Amino acid sequence: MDLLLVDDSKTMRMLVHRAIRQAGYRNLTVCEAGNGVEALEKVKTEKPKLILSDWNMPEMSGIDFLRALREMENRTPLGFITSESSGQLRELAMKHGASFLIVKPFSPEDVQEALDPILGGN
Amino acid sequence: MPEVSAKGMTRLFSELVGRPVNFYEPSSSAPSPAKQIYAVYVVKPMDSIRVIHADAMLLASLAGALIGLPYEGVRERMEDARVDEGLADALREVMNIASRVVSIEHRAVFKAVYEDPRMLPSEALGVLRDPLYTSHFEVRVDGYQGGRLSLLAPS
Repeated sequence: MDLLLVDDSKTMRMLVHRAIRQAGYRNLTVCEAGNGVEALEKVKTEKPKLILSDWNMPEMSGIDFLRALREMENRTPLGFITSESSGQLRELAMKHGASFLIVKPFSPEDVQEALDPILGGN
Repeated sequence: MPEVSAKGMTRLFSELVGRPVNFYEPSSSAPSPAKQIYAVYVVKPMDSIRVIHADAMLLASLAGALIGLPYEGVRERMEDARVDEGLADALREVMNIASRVVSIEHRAVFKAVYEDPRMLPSEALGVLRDPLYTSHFEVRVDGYQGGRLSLLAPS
């Protein structure tokens, strides 16, 4: 599996999926999870190369998901997609090992810029 | 509360739905007669409540534009007693992203959307009934129905 997309909003999962295709990544295999708890299970079974996660989710927030992932010694690159863009939030994300942070609303170019260094371009 | 600008709102929502969305200062601050939808935010670190309320058809139009549902489809779904789940999810996402303009100085976290104001948490209801700061906008959405949107904040 190339990518795990974690967001409680079906709409946002659809929009991210669309932006990924528009960014030129048409053949990526993508699986989805609706929250951090579900995502931890998917990480074990699907072994994605990259995770894109929302920040503000029920059950388990994005940052708690990242913490839990790293506690499992899992080093899969993870980027956040969030409507919150404060320096404090960005600092917290990076401190816990996030690879990047994409702020909503985003363009396919924003997604491409974030994905290229990790997935090696399309 | 620093003034939330029509220009900032115009930019955010146009980028979000990928078509022209224009926010204007309204000619009148009289309450909109249209059915309203309410969104509640918590501004960190003070945990102060802010409320956005807007014409339901305006928010449904923004949600429809976000997911590529034409205006006719939006109108049909809004005529049903219960709003279609796909459109409701897109509407929540519109209000979630609106958190970026709810507070200029601090981080605002989107909490929930309400169709019935009686269901609002008591603190949000207090802001709705007696806001200290208000910003009202007239909104036009290219190809969809526009309407009124208001942002309310306590002291």
